[in-house]
Formats: sequence, C-alpha cells, structure tokens
Amino acid sequence: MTDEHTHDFRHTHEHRRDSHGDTPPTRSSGVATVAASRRVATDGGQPRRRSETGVALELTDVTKTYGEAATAVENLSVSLREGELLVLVGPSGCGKSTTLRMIAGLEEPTSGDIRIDGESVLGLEPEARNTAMVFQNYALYPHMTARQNIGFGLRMTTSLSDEEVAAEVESAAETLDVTELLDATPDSMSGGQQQRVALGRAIVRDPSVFLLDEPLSNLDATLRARMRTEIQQLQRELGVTTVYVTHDQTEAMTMGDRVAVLSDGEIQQVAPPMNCYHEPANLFVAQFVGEPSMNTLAMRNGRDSFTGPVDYPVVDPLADAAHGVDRVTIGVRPEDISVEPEADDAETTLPARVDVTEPVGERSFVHATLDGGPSVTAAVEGSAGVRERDQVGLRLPPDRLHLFDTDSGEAIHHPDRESATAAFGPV
Amino acid sequence: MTTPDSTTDRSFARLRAVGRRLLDHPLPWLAPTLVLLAVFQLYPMVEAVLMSFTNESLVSPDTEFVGIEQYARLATDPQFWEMLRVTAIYAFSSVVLHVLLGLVLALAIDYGVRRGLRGHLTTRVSVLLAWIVPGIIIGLVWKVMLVESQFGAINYLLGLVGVGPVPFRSDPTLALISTIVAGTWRGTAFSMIMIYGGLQRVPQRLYEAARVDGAGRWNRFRHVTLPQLKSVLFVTIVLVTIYALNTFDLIFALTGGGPGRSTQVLALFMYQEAFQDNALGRGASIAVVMLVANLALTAVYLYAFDVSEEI
Repeated sequence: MTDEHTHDFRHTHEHRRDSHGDTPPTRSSGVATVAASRRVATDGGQPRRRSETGVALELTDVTKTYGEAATAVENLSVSLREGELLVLVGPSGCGKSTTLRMIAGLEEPTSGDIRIDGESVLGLEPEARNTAMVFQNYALYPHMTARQNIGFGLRMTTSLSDEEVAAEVESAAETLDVTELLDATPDSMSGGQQQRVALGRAIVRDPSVFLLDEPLSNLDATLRARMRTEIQQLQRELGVTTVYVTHDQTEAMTMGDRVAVLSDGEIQQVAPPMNCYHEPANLFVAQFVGEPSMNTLAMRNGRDSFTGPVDYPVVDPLADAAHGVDRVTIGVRPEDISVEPEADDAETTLPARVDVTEPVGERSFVHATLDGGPSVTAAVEGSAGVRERDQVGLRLPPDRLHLFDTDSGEAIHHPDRESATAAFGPV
Repeated sequence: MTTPDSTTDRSFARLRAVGRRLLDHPLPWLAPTLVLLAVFQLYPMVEAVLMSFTNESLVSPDTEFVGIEQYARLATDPQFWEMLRVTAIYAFSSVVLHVLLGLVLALAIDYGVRRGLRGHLTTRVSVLLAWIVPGIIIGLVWKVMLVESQFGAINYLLGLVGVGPVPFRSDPTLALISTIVAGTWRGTAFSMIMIYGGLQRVPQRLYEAARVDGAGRWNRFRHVTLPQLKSVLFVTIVLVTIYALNTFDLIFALTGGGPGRSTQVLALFMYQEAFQDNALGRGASIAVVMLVANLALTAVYLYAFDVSEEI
C-alpha cells in the first residue's frame, strides 16, 4: 500500500523546478505545459520573479504580542536561501507555530517585516502570499475527496480549466503516491495517507514557500521515521524553500539545512544542526538539543578549581575561557562521560552512585548521583557493566567540557570538535 | 459427585451469564425509550388513524365504521384545498425565513464570538427569549401590536411617518403575512440556535486551510461552512417544517384563522372540527393527512440532502 514504500520524486516533478527558473520552460511533457501555462495565467507571461540575492524568505525583527502581557514572538530575524529547509524547533509555547502562521498570513505580526521573494507580504491575505501550508492535523476538507482536496487551492487561485487542474492533481498525486486514493474521502484514509494528501494539496500549488506545522506529530513512530525521510527527499527534489516547525529534536537534527532553536518567542541559535549540537550558543540550546540532554553543573569559579556541589579542577583550556566569569556552568554531553569501575584519585573523575541503567540497544544510559548531590547521565557503549547502587567514578574529560556563564546563560567555551573521542553522535 | 451446593452455584452462574448476555444486547437499553414511544406516540397515532375511519363524535354515543368517507369528504371539500394552500404557503415561507434568518444571525454571532466582539451574548439571549415565550402569548402580543388604529404600536409608528393605519389582520393577504412574520419572529431563534451549534463544530483549521488555499470569504462559506453545516441544516429544516405545518397556538391567538378562512391552517381546522364541532372522526382524518404530509416532506429532504451517512 501507499504507506509501505518510498517513492522516487525526481521523475514526476522535474518540470516544476524548471518552471521556477528565469528561462521559460521548454518541456514537451503535457503536464509541464500545463504548469507553464499556469505561470502565464497568473504572472502575466513573466517568469516568477525571484529575489536577486537568492534570499527567498526573510523575517526582520518580527514581534507578535497578544494584548499587553503576552508576547508570543520577540524580535525574530532569520532569512532563508532559496531552496533551503529551516527547522523551527522549541518546546510548546515557544512561538514557533505563531511564526509559521505569520509567514502564512493567518496572523499579522505586531511589528517587523516579512519578505517573500524580496517583497514585503505584510497586510497581504494568505492567498496573495504564494505559500502553502501543511497543518499538524492535516485539516483536509472532510466533505471532499482527495482529488477535490488537492485541487481546491488551484481552483481558488488560478484560472486553470478543469482539465488542467485534473492534470496537476494527478501529477501531485503521483509524486506522493496517492493516485489510488484520489476518489476517497479523508475519513476513509489512515493518518499516513491523509498526510500524503495534505502534502499533495500543498505541493500542487507550486508555492514560493512551503510551511509545515508539526506534520509528523500525529503519526506512529515507524511511519514518522519514514515520512521524515520522504518529506526531506520531496523538499530536495522540488527545491522549494521550506520552514518546518517541530518540537521533536530528532526531526530538527535530521531534516534541516539549518535549525532555529526558539524559546519564549526568541531565537536562541540559528545554525546547521550539528553546530547546535557541538557549539550550542547558550544553556537552553545545550540542554534542548541532544538526547539524553547535556549534563550541567552550576559552579563557582575559584582560583584553582570550580567549586560547587562537587569540585572540578580549572585546567587548560578551561582557565582562559572562564577568566573573569564568577559563576560558571559546566556542560558535558552524556557520551563524553566515561564510567570507571571506581573513583581513582584523578581530580577529573568524580565519585558517584548508580541509580538506574537503561540499555537502549547498542549503548546504555547510566543515571548516577554524584556524591556532591546532582544527578548526571552518561551514555556508554554496549551494556554498562555496572549495576544499580554500584559506586563508580565518572570521568569528565576537561577537553570535552562546555562552559557557560551561569548568569547570562551564554556559552563561553566549547570543546574542540576535532578532539571528539566519543563513538556516538547525537540521537 | 454433584453436591446440592455446587448445583446451586452452577445455576447462579448460569443466571449471571444470561444476565450478562442480556446486558450486552441492545434491547434492555432501548426498552425505556421504546415503551415511552409506544405509549405516548405510537398508540395515539394508531388510535387516530383508526378513528379517522369512523364517525366518532364527542356528543353522540354511536360510533360507526365509515371507511374512507371522512377522506372522501375532505377531498371534495374546496375549503380543505384552500386550507391546504394556506398551510403550504405558511409552512414554506416559514421554513425559508426561519432558516435563512437563523443562518444570518448565527453567522453574525459566530463571527462576533470568533472576533471577540461585544454583544453576542445579549443578541443570543434576546433572540432566544422570543423562542421560550409560549406561542399563544406571542400571538396575543402581536395581536395587540397590530391593532388597526393609532392604538396599535405598529400602526402608531407607521402613523408617525404618515402611513396607515394598515389593516394587518382584516385584509386577507396582510393577515397571512402578519402570521408569517409573527411566526418568524418567534421561530428564527430555534434555527439560529441549531445553526450556531453547527457552526461551532466547524474546525477553525478548515478555515485556515481554506485561507491558505486562497479561498476568499464567499468561497470559504460556500466550500467549508455550508458542507459542514449540511446535517445540521437538514435536521433544522425538517424540524422547522414539522413545526410550521403543525402551528396552531400562535395563529389561534393572532387571527383565529380569519379574516374568513384566509389564515386557516390545517391544525386550526383540525381543532375546530374535533373540539368545536365535536366531530372526532373528521378531526382525526385531518390529523392523518398532516402526518402524511410531514412524513412525505421529511422523506423529500432526506433524499435531497443525502445525509444517510451522517445520521
């Protein structure tokens, strides 16, 4: 069935890319001609104008407040290259969906500017923005068949004839492998099938910007993993600039060209996923990205050692970084901690007692309480080799530590990425 | 060996099993409703149908079976056909006006609520007030308002702009229009409540999807709101039709069927035949005709709306 296999998108959507280009398409395929004629119908014969700078979507100082008190999004600025996939990730209530809805035109920013293909879309109705959106719960029209659902936007926004709409719908359906479902209504489809139809409804519009609002959150784990790959593949094939909203950091890490981590309406960091992982800009990003999340220990910066619930020596390269900062937080990824059978005398090895071990296949998580109080998690290869209530030593290699200014939360030191010895990446 | 004790245990167990199976069956759960329907709806209905084939009278002890005589009499009575026409006009205008005005009001209130505007509660309450007042009172209130001299509120107001007095209740056509207006004033509330309930069940995300799909206000109404309201509109129209076809109290109080027979609807006619002329048999035959009309119209709606899947 539809859900059971992936599909090569390249074939059916080749023409779409061309129709974005500056030269008019010269394809002979029937569908491509339809696409070209639609351009003519909607753009008065001019190829669609793209920004000179290659920036497809630009948000400048976008702020959204509700009434006096509630600020959903604050001074958010980010720009997307043409064809880029940006993942907006953050906990619920961080303003990521509001941001998406402002791009779509479902809500207006209180201040700031949103530009699509170089032109401000403020005040424009959603239909005038040339965006397409996939909603979390798909929002398919329940009284329409898949065919009508996919074709609805074309019928509303273009002057295409019924035959041309039908051809476009067929082509999108083929791309998403839902041809057999075209005459079914949403209530007779599985979640995955509805998802595909919702994607079809979005891509058939051939939008400038593709907006996805937690599209996978209603799917079961297996299907989610598969759709993740497929959406990525689809996005690459279509080359359409995409904003993808999720609270799932796995999706954020695996899908995006870049990830924008949001918290409390503010961007914490915009960077390629692995940069967010290796060089988190602040404590929030450090703890949000990575599973299990980074261990943090709030300390005071003594002359020779960081003091707090436990003591840790101030050695190179930490000393320079921490210079002048009184309250520092040490961050260490679980996979950078090694579990020793017992505490040796080395100052970088901290005595702890194992609370729980969680084998998760090829590695195990060891949750332990340091003798000084705080709990930390270590990720070790294979089975942990320790048991609950064992006394162990946790070695925190100095060259694997992150340092943060506790007061501002800003990162002040990251370990050298080259020195990574851990066998595991994130996730 | 089977001891007496274990036999008792076993029969208890069997009893429990029977009880459990009974509870799994829909019948015990439907029974209360079925009994009530049978006693208070089905039995009187059958009785009325049987009565319509007799000449039963309130004042004569002799009741005879007269076959279809009562129906033949109705069919050949030109007044009956005139009343059927009046009833049809009244019912049709009522359905159209109630549902259209109800839809408009419901959309306005829904819009107000979604936009966070003030006053939607007041509007809802005031419209609903008209509905909870008994029809007979409404008839009387309108009768007072429509008094055909300067003492009638509406004629007084019309007098201020130099119109009237208008013979609202003595002109045959105006009298019928007056009953329709009074009925609409009252009945719109019901449609509004029903449709407003339906509107609230339309998921906001469908409107958002439609906006992103480029549908303007009208197209969102046409392609999202209306299809989503289909089953509610169906139920509303059926109920308003039944309600309008059977209207009695309001017309009884407002015009009493007059002038002449210009506002004489079937329900009024039935009442007069059965309880003023004491001819129960004749009254019953009119009741049966009304029943058939109700059923037939409901069937037509069922076909027209194609809601078999949703109900």
